Amino acid sequence: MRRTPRLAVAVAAGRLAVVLSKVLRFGSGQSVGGRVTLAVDPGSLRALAKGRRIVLVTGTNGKSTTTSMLAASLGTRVCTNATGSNLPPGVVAAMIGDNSRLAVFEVDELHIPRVIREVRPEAVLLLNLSRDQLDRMHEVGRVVRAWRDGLADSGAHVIAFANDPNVVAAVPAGRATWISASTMWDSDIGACPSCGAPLIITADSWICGSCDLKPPAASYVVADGVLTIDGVPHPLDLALPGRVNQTNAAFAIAAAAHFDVAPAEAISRINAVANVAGRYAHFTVGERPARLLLAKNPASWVSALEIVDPAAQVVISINARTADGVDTSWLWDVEFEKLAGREVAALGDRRADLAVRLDYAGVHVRECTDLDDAAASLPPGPLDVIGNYTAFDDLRRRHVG
Amino acid sequence: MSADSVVSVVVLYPRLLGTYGDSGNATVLCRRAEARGLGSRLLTVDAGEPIPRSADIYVLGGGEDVNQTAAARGIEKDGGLAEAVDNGAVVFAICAGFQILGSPGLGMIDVHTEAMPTRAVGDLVTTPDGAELTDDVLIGFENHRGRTVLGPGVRPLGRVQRGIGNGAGDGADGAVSGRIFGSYLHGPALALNPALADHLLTLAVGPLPAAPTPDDTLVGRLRADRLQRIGRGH
Ligand SMILES: [Zn+2]
Repeated sequence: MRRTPRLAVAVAAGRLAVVLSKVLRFGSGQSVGGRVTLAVDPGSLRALAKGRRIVLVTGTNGKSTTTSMLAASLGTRVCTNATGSNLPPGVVAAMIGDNSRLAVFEVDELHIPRVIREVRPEAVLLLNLSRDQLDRMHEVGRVVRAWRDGLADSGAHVIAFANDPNVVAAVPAGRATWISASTMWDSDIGACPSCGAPLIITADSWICGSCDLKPPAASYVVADGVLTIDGVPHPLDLALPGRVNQTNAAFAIAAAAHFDVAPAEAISRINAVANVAGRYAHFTVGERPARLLLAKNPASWVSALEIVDPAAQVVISINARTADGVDTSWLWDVEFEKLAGREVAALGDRRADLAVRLDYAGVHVRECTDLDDAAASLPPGPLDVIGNYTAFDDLRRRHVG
Repeated sequence: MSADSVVSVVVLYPRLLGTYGDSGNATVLCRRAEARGLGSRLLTVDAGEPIPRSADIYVLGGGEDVNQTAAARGIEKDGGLAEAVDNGAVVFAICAGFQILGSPGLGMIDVHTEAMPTRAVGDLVTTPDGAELTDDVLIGFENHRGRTVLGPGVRPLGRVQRGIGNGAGDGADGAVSGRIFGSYLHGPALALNPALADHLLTLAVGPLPAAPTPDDTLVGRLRADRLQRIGRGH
């Protein structure tokens, strides 16, 4: 990569910021380094991307996991923002520290158009799109429009989720490899994102009665732990739990194929991915075995409630900081009724909001100050500990490391 | 009313009007009725399905612009909601659901909504306008771009202490017109404001039994927590 003097100065300043921030204990300092670099050279995102083969991963849920799976599947050194800093500074920071020619970045849903424009990716993965942080995103429809505009003038190949009308409406015609799986969250399927008519929803599909929007035929189909690629079945044996991770794996395998990695090879590498930045991490609280899960919006809660061990005691921690979205009303879109009759410990900044929701769901709720308090107060058994974004991060740092 | 009464609550078009957990309002109404020994029936009606004419309470929630238009069209075509209101049903509508009850929309209440230049996003705290509401404040969260002007035929649900509410310069949030209640409070509103929930139940089925009553310890703590958090202090 040839660097202009300005870019060289910007990168040096960014690296210095990373070191200083580590010394001064401002966390990992990754995105600080990216911010400094971008401030010194606003063109650095574009310049650092030049000459690399880049894949971008976006969507409401599964960005970090799919990014990790794809990076693992390529079987070579890959530049990636595995720390989850998915805004432009996080992407810049990853590239400052790593000259690898292959790069896989997760990117925030609203920032994807800018990042597409600047890094000119070879492929873009659109995982799904549902309500999350509406105080920031405002409307799902707004994100659909941003994606459509971002992809319109990009030559990137698109790998996208055929079951999600919001995703299908965002993809330019004839440009995608489609992935299909049983959808688990369909409450954001309302009016047609293309024409506004109500979608006709059947038991396992949807179609617009007014325009031609419908699920496209998929070449990658996930069902019951088997990924069928163009009619050929490939059993998955993932270390990560839940149907949602089988779908994430299908995306990674399809993207790896774009880089000529055979499915069997990609699958064996992806099967081994065991935890992604603390998600599904096993740890102990005192003597008690515990597992850490991330669930940050209604759609990801559908998966989390499916994964929760019926024999485990459940601890839930909810915050509403900027990164979580400051409005807690989404808790009422989660079917906590599935935990009715169980003892559940409520933690986090917004445990009062959570407690009221759980109580109305018929859950026996105990408000606790922290995880140790919860472990002391709940009946015996392993713990399934579920947090939303910053609550998860607090738990991971304190208990998993 | 007798102890074997059943309160029927309809959640109208949750796929189109349910962006901010608003269908929780129906859950709260049903659970609070049950806590008093009453029966409850919760019906979810999606676009295209017939709207029941004879339920006690209809709840509508927030939705995005295209969904809002589709919902208004569907409700108008069905005609069931207007008929239920004529029969004395209670309606509780939030955000987009509130807007479509006025104009442009169904014309069931005398309010008019147009787009605001900026979006109102944040905590919303109001003082209830009617003496029948026993909570000292109504608490919620708002996220909308509508500016709603009240006509002479309606009064506000609350006076804004904090936030934007209707945004029409008169300090009002929401509207009350007969048995129709509208507001920009989501959260959902009835989970955060149990006295308002009980008021709607009373309108629907008559005076509520004095015992047993719901245990509101947790919601009391939540209301105190929320007010302290948004700096009103107590
Ligand atoms: Zn359509």
